Amino acid sequence: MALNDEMATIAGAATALRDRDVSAAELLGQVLDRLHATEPVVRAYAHVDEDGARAAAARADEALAHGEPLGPLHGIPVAVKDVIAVADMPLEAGSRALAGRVADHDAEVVSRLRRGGAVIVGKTITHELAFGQNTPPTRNAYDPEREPGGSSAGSAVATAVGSALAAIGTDGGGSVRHPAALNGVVGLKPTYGLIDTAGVLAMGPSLEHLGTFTRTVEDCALFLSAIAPCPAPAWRNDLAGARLGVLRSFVEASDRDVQEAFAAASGLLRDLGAELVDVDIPEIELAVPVGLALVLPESADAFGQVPRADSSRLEPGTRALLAAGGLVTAGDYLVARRARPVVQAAVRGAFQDHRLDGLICPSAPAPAGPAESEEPAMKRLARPLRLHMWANVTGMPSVSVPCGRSADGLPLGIQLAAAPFAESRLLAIAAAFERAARSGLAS
Amino acid sequence: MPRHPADPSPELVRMLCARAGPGLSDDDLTAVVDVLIAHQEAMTRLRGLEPVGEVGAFDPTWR
Repeated sequence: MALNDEMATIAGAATALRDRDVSAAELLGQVLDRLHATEPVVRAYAHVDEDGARAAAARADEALAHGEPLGPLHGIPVAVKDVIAVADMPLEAGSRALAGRVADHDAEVVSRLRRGGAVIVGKTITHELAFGQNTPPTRNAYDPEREPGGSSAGSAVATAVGSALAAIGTDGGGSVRHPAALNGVVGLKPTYGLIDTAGVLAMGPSLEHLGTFTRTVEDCALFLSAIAPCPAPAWRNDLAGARLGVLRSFVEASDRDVQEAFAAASGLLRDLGAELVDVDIPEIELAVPVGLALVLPESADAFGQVPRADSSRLEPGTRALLAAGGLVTAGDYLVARRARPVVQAAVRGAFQDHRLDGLICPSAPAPAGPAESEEPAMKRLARPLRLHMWANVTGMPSVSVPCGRSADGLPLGIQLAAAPFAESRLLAIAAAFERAARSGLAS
Repeated sequence: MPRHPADPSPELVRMLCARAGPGLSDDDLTAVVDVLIAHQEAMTRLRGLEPVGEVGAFDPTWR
């Protein structure tokens, strides 16, 4: 059976594997074929472990043949961002400063992937140290002249082109949700701490979340169930009774294409029965300065603790930002720590005052821009950072779901966020929207 | 030493250069100095906030 759209999902592939329509080795072979066909163009992978993946697929087939209990990801080929330790694979975080480093153990999330039966294809390309200051070689899945977003660029693109059925990324300020939007896949940043970050090269641990890339919301729930304690969503066909707060200022700050796609998505949500109300939470605008005052000094400290890291080999933009982190005073850091609960309390207050089930806004302020840009990275990052950092500062779960196309045919995304640990409710709402959006596309 | 054209604080640029080492372009410095200036401005506002809850705490009761 060829790797068609159905097979390129976790749910479809898992069914095919259990029905013996395909073996894990055959499925991996098809994913590797896709990888070899796409990598010369999109460059999603920093390291591919074909031998290790083939061995894992063979073990998965043996388990199937012997009727052993199967995990939720049994035989599913997945990819892992190269800031996360996978034993005996490089751990270079997209940086020459860490060249030659090989992990001697699995991160906790990788151990859970393996226990769930996943086949790890390799490590995906990231912006250097997940900072977003350099230009990685990865290209957008829909147009190789366009940027992939970041910093989890390779994970998003690998999932989009089918060189993995799902991937793990990290999100310290939108690094899962923004590339997910630009590449037309589902990107989830769950509640802070829901996925254990042990073994992750986290530059800003106060804000760093592990997150997932999948091709559907249903896959997102399946993937999450293997790596975090999260009850299965109660899928629903409508959104009757759901109240969603619209972060209107973020909509209005987005490009016209994005505003039009968001308006269409809002119409779909209303058609499904949801009630949409505009909400104004001024404290949300504090999230970026709070986040930067936390992540900059934490990054400077974290990099200083990496053994044998050669700072002289960092890209200039990354080096400058780490230097800036060293100039943030302890007093400022503590001010930001005190301000974080202020943002959290304001968002929580809005949920209570408006009886909200979630918040919505675009997950990218514009379609993917040019892959090569003269504009300084910090300026390019400012707009998407504003749309995402509030969910990192509050720690609430947030998912980006594909939401139409730009005039140039590039993917766009809608971001839905819910109260902490409400992933199941969040994904149920997201799935209802996704189904309606897809059936709208089909009609 | 490169100077940020609108930087009111040459001392900031001097400290940044000292920490970052050689090889930074004017664009690199300008972008990061902008971040630091924005940071300093934001700090004034953050210092004026009324504290709520524990420092840095994540509220586990919000479900």
